[in-house]
Amino acid sequence: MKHLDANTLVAYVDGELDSESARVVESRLAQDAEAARTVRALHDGALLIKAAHNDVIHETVPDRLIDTVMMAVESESATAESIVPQHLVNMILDAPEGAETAAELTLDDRNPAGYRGPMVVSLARRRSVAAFASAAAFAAVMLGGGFLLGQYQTSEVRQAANQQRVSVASAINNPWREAAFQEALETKRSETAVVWTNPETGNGGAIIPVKTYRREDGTFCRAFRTVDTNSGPDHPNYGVACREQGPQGRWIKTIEAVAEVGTVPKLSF
Amino acid sequence: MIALLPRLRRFARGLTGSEEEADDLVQAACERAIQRINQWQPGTRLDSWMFRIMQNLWIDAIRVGKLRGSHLSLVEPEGQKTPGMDGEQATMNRLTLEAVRRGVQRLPPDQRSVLLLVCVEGCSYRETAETLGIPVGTVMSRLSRARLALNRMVGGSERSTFAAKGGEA
Repeated sequence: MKHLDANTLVAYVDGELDSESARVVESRLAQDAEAARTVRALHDGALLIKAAHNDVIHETVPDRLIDTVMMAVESESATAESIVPQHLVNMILDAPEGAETAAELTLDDRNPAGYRGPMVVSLARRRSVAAFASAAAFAAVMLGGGFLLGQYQTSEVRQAANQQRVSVASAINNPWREAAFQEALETKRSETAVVWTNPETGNGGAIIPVKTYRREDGTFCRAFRTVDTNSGPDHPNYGVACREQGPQGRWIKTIEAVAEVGTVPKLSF
Repeated sequence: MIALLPRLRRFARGLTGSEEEADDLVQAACERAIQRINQWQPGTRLDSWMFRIMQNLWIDAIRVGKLRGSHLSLVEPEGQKTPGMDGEQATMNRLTLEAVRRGVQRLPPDQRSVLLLVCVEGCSYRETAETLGIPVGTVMSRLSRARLALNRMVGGSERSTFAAKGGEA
């Protein structure tokens, strides 16, 4: 190493030289004031470059980016020719590795970053806090599928009364489906089906939660997918239901859409 | 991947210099990554893979003219020359963060991505080389040219005889 070229000085500042090369550089820097000045400027410059670009790391991530990830995962998962393995879905959505049961997860409401990351808590400890048991169990289900909760505004309040009537009528006409519907949304992880059968007609189907949100007012909503023996497994319907406040809250369907074959409808809130 | 979003945004912001363009880039990168998630090698770093996707999308966008690249006038020092003995101290005082950001945006795209990966994302030269699919020697030459150009642009008075060396490997 006869001359200290720019590459060597930069690599020295970045700690990329092996120890012998670094010693050679140091001995030469002692005799070369200009090179030493350059090294100091490079070192200070590196700190400034980092500082100049680091603010964004503390900004709230826009909902649209989180939503993009979740929507993209769903549409990939829904495309028959490219099944995304569950462990990759978990990785994309940051579910803890090996998370099998919803009970391992709950909400971290202190997270200021604009989304709720799953946080592992002790099941035993949570059981001991009886007052929160219902809410915690529910929250656990919310994150059980690894889906993160965005904050969504909604215009569905005005539809609520009408939709509630529809839901009640459905519950009366088909209590088996309604029971499965409530069970799936209240207790099942996303992509876990609850199957129902109507013993009177022989019809049946399944309710599958697919995605979870929290609205600005704190209400939990879940997108779901349904299939039944009339339409067949290749013709799922999609919908969104929101949970009434309170420990015994019921799930009220707010949106239901029939999907084109092979597509996932864009659900807007 | 969602946990990586803040870092993806940081990298994208450094590349594009614009919040809106950066988030569009992150969004496009996430969509592409998920479409191709089966190409990701488990056990390798997801962040490096995402950076690579983002870098490729960004370069593509510049090529088709959707995004502006660099202004290519990189050796013009900004600000006034600082004469005299206290030049270095005065120079350091003028190294404001805004000037650094402007300076980074004036670097050629190839140098900008190497600089951001090493100096902001904390990647080693080897990781940077693997992420960008270029030799380590190229990382070093791009990085040193970027750093020295930035020192000149931001510092104004940095007169280094090393600046001209280090061609593309």
